[in-house]
Amino acid sequence: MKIVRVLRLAAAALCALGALSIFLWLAGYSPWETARVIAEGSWGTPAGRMQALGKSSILIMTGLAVALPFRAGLFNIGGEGQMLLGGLAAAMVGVAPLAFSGPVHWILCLIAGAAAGAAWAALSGWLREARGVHEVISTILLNFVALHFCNQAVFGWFSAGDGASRTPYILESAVLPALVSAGAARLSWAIVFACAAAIALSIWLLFTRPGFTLLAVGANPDASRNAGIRDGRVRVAAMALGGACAGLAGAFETCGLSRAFFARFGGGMGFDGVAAAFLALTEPWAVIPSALTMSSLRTADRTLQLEIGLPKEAVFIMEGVLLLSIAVFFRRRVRAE
Amino acid sequence: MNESATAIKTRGLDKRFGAVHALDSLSLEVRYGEIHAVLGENGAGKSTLLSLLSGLLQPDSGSIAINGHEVARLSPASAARLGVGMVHQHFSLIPAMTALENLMLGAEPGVWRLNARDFEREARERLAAFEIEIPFHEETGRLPAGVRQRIEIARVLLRDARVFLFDEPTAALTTSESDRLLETLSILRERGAAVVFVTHRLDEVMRIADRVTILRQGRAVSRVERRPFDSNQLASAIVGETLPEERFPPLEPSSGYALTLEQAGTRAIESLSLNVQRGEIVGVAGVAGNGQRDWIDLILGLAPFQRGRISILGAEASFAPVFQRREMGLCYIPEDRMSDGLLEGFPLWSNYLLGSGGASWWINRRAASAEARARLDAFAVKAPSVDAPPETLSGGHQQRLLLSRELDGSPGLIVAHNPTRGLDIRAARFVHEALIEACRAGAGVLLFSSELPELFLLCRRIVVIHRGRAVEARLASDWTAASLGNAMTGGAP
Repeated sequence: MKIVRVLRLAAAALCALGALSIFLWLAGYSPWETARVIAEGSWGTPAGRMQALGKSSILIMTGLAVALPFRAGLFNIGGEGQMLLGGLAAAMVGVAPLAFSGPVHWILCLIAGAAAGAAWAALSGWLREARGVHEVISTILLNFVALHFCNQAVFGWFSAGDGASRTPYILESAVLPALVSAGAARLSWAIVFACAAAIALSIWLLFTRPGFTLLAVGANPDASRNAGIRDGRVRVAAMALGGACAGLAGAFETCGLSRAFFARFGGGMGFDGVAAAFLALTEPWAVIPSALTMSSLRTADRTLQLEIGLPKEAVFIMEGVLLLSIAVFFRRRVRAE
Repeated sequence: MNESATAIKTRGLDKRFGAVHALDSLSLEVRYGEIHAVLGENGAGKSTLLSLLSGLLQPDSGSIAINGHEVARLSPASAARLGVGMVHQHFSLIPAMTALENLMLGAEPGVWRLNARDFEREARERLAAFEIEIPFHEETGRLPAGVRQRIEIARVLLRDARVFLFDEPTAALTTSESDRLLETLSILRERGAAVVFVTHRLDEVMRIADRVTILRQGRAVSRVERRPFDSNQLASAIVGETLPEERFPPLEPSSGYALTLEQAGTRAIESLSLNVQRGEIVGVAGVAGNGQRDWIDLILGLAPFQRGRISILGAEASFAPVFQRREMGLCYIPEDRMSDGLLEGFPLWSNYLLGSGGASWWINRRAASAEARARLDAFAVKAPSVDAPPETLSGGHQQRLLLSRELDGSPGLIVAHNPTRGLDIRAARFVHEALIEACRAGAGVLLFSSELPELFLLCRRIVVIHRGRAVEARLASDWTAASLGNAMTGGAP
């Protein structure tokens, strides 16, 4: 069975590459040249590598925010809103002048971000269990609430002033420590935390009782309920866990990359988490390679435009083709309820 | 139509699913103008046979000839062209559509022209010839199972089928609906159609079949070419041994109550009083859909408790959630094994984890597998390995699997809902013995069953449920067929 999956994955990748090659060739670009530029534009320079990995750290977390609830039978489209609130919460804690030394401050920022995302997602979970509101509806709508709440903060009560569309910069103690840095480019520890989270969640699902309970509720809520599992609570918890991941994504962005909460914060990475999760077939550890692939494409988009004149939006076509071919070859794992 | 012409003839049909030999060089001949019954246990290969005949599956070897011509590779489309139609066991109608719309689906007269009125007129005429009446303009989802099945038959009929394949058509029907279906089958036969009738209900075979083929473990072990049939002979051919005696020796209840309900109520139940002693099987008899589900939800703790008092093994359980009641000794055997009890796609060993309130955080795979192996062996579950998913087991072995999980560790109260539904004689016998065994060990059993013989076979007392109320409770020996039938249909017992 394992071999079948690997073969399918290879077939999906081949199909996607084949289709993309034809598409590029028809549009008058060399597929080889394009591949080379993507590789060089993202992984060819230290700055590119750091940018790609930095984006991955966000995308892994927003991908987990979709993948985990999905395994419990829920479709969390609210990663964007949960991420925004997480980022804002981290920014608020980050400006607080705390008299702590060492890593305490940024750890508090991460906790605040995770808590904000978890609470926002749990609200959707609770609405579903208590009032029967479908989580797709509530998460989509709560995204707008979160977005405009955050805009209000950026332009109003929490603005840095002077017409800047951002909050004040966070204190140095709240900045995530650098893993590596080269000149102005800098890569924070967020990528390590994100990978650890993805792997830990995979292990948790496969080898622990709470993880099994989540999977059981996702696979068969009726049988789970009959067996004494309080499936409603499990679903709310799964949403909260997913929301915590999205909230952490926001905190990583605030404390690791932007150092403040900006208007248009995160650049839509919350929504991109849906693609990252399904490209990984909602398997937590597999979100790592899937997020790396997507962020490599995104990092190279400008280079593509500069060097061979391929419009940078073409990377979205590439992502789309990849995701579609995965969906074709693994339709069972990419199907909602 | 030549009445004795051969409709379907198979030679040496062979089909394997992994290690399971589902069909073993099966030869079968079905003629026009006959009802050919295929009898067999669960897992005997009946459904596989029908799938091969209707083109859903391809045989590993062997041949199928339809109307005397061998068909190289039968597909559902080519089977339909050759006049072979399958009446599905799980209804394939779209509930939100009317009967007429469902009939027109896939049988549209032309791509551009869809004249519902003409279609309806023609359909009515053709169905009238078979005395099949259908409410054309009602929403299918609201119709009872028997009517929906008639629509299925009509759909096959309107596609000019001459060979009808039925897979346990009476499984979901009430007695009167079944009678009506059997009548329809006879009419189909009179009009010269060939009917393949897969079932495990002996009485139906005795009533209408012309010839019988009995499958056991994928082989045709017996063929009976003409009436009258000897039911004992058929039954023993199915099981492969002689039938066991009819009634279990009555159990004497021990002291103490496994379950007491004192004017207990939920949103759906006004007030229910009932008790089950330890060591006693209490049957709940009633026409399906009379509130059995609500009683079960109340006892299991699935519906919010509102009134009265519930105690399990003497301990107050009124407000206890499901898992606490299970810890108190409650276990549940649901009606639908796969969708209410087991986890599809999960290995067997992890199916045992469901509902086991283990305290440890980590799952010890090796220990869990070893324990699963032991329990599978204890209940003689035929499974390729502990890593196989439950949907690969036959219905009877899925039920064994469920029993081996639920009855583990001396349960005090067993709630069973149609525990032998869809099972063959031997598998049903196994379930009965397991319940009796648990009872001897001191458990009380509340058995919801739509099979009256099963209730009389097992129960000391029988309660009749009608429209959500407990109408009357008596010792099984005090009920007569007449009094029970009256109570179940709302008359005076």
